[in-house]
Amino acid sequence: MKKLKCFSLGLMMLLLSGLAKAQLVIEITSGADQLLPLAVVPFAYEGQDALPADVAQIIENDLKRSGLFEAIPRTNMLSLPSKKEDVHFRDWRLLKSDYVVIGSVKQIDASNYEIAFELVNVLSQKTVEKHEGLAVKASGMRDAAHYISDKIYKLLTGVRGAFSTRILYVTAEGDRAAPTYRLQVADADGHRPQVIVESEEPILSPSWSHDGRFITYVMFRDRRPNIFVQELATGKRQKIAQYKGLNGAPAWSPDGKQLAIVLSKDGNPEIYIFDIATQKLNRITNHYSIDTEPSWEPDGKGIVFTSDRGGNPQIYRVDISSKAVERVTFEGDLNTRARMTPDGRYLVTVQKNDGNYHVALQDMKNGRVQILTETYLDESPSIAPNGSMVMYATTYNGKGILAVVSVDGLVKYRLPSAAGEVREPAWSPFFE
Amino acid sequence: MSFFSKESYGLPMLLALSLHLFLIVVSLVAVDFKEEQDLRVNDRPVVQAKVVDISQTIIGKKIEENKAKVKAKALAAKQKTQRDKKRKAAEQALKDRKKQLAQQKKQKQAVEKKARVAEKAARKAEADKLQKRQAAEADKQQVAAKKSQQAKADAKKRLAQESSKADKAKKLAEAKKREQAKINQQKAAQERKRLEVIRIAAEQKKRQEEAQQALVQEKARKEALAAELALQAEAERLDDIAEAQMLQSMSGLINQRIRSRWIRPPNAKNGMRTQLSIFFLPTGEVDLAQITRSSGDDLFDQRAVDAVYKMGRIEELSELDPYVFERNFRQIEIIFNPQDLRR
Amino acid sequence: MSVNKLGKMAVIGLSAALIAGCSTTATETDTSSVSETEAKTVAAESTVANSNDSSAKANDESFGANGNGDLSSVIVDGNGNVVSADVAAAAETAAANAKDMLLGVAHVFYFDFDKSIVRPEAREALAKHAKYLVANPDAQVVLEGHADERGTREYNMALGERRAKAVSRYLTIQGVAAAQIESVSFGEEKPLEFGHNKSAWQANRRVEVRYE
Repeated sequence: MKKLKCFSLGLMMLLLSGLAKAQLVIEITSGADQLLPLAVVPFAYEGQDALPADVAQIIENDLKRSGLFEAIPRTNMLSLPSKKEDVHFRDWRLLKSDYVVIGSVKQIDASNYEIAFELVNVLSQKTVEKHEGLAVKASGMRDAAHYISDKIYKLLTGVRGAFSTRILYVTAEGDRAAPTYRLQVADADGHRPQVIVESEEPILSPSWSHDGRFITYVMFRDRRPNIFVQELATGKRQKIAQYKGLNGAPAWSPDGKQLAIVLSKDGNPEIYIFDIATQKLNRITNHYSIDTEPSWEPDGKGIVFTSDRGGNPQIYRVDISSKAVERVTFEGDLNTRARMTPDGRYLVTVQKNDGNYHVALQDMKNGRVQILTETYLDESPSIAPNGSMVMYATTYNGKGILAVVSVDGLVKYRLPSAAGEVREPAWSPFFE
Repeated sequence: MSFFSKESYGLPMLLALSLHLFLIVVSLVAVDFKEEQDLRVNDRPVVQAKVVDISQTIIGKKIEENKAKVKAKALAAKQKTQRDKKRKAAEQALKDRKKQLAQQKKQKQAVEKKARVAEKAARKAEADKLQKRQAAEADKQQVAAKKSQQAKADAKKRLAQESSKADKAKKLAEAKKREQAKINQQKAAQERKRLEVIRIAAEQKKRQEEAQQALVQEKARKEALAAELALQAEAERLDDIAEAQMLQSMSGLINQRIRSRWIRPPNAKNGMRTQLSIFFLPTGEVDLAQITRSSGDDLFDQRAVDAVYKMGRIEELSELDPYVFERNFRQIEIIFNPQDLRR
Repeated sequence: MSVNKLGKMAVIGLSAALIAGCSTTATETDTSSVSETEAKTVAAESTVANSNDSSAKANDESFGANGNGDLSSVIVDGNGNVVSADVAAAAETAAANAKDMLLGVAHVFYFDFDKSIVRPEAREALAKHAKYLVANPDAQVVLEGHADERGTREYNMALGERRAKAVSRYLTIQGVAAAQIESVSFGEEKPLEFGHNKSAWQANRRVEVRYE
């Protein structure tokens, strides 16, 4: 009898709850394709010497370049708080800023500083993240700023920031008919360039190992191309290929143990895998056409490469164990120099359409292709390690420069123009 | 030689001839030496014109489509104007009804007031009458009392004056007079009683009449009330329609305001779902936005909350009737469920 | 059977035979440098022409190859008398050693976009290079292939090499030993002209012949 009572009581309550007043429900199924507006307030500074770097400006530039944020200009800021209690939220709402970054730099002694920063949500008036007492050396001020940018980017987008990464690139300066070639490394924003190799003969195809400790590149010696591997920290260099004919397009395997390279010693350009430990070559392609520009898939099981076995050059994929080849790109007049995003989702190529060469993005899931760039004679796309941006070489005002476009194509910018011609960018991996 | 011997030519000749004959016959009959009859194909005329029904061609169909579209548009416009008209008429009717109601209310109130006032006056008049009567009676009693006192005093005097002779006669006469007076008094009292009875009867009658009147009034009041309720129900029905329309337009307004401020994070996918409870203040500002059901992704949820706070004040909410606001907008639910993302 | 039908079949059969007999062995997707049939027919002609010419004159029209690519061994002097092969050869070498053979001869050869076919106008000069190399077995030639700036660098390296190899093949057909030839590519790395227009691109699509 008790059970029945409980049951009927429960049933009644259920019915009654159903009779409760119906709430207004609104469903929202689309949103705004907008940049997230955010303000980076100049950090307060306490010290005798001049600030080694404008930390807030570096953070602002990083976030703007990522293609996901819109920065409130400094000239519009009504106040410059450095602590949350000084933030007048109404001011920032007026400026239509959703988030605000505030901070301070304190000089401890001639070469030591302390940085504090806070990311605040203007709409809910809550602190998202707060850090104090970051110890920084004067020479590391830029790195500290990039570190803060990475943190903010991750908090606001869920994606790991790539602001503390670096880029390799080749410059050609001087007499155009006989320039000096330099292989250089710089911060991802183009600052603090350093020369790694200098030569009177061409350098091309620089590339990073997956831990960022080694690089590989092609350099001409006695008018013939050789492939080199170099340890960045020590500068120690090893020549790994100098065969008759082509030696080119070296690409590191994800496990760092092998290099895919292009040799034509057996008659025409083919792809080989060079094992660094055993120094042995393993031939991967076997076709009378041109097979070149290999790039490893993130899981290391296959290599995408350029081949004109079908007439015009397109991208193909070869399975390393079975050597089976299948075609990957089908759009445009031709596709060359493929690179995959770290999640294996997209393929970035140089595609030609109606005589124009642009950077194209192909979705490997549904085959959709999107042209990312509108610049002129685009080549050598290199993907950031977080898969969000693509750096490539292009011409601007008749000169070779580097440019960056976000993977969704929304934001584009050019790197500060170095002297001479700049080409062949290679984006580093994350430095752990 | 015999025909069938081995050396004669007869049999071979016969066989050979028959073979040749056979072949000739076969070739004549079975094999067709004629050319293939391909030439017949060329008998068709060079030009074949066909009457094309334009309504079946793409162009024709497009023309039809366009016509249909224009028609549909006109129809839609017509319907819209009709709807608008209807709506306006309904609104106007509502207004009129409301006015009517108000007027009737006023009238009723006036009537009731009058009745009340009349009642009061009647009661007052009665009270006055009663008082007067009582006063008159009191006076009468006083007078009577005085009279009896005086009579007593007189009687005493007379007794004192007429001691012996006249005492008895006087006493008798006085006794007679006293009796007479008593009788008179009794008569007077009876008379008074009679009058009293009449008066009471009259009063009772009056009360009955009043009660009847009250009943009649009650009836009238009830009927008026019923009519009023009916009108109110009608007004409420129209109110509900108006409210439903207002809810729809307000939902649309809120939806649009939030949608234009909702910035999805890079890893958002179609089908993710966050549900928020939004609490509004009567000013139209958002008091609080709470996550009632998370999508599983904190960043996605946070962006939804941000979008709501970014909305700012909705002036239209502050213009609502407080009861309507309270009932519908004090707390609403919003579901964020993107369907337009490329990923 | 009808005559028509027989006739058709005969024609088809004959054509098939002809085609089968004439099919080339070239398998490059980018049309190869010089078609073999052409070389053969040319060779057939030249055996006759060769026998009339012995000196290294500018009006030498021979392509120098008979069926097996050897120079004809019958030499006739100006009067039509047969001269001993050895004597003639010695005379020739002497003349050849003077590098007059290559004076005024083009060293740079140009190509159409995305092609590695030796143009007809280049064959004459290349033939002279071939002759020189044949006459000087110790001479080493480097063929440096180039591409214009369009397209990606490593693909252009391969394209440059393909052009150099086309010239190399042409030379070997002329009798040059493979050991004397090295094909190298510079891709787009060493342009002659720096404009971003058709004429600059044309100037950069080239093979340079260099003697080491």
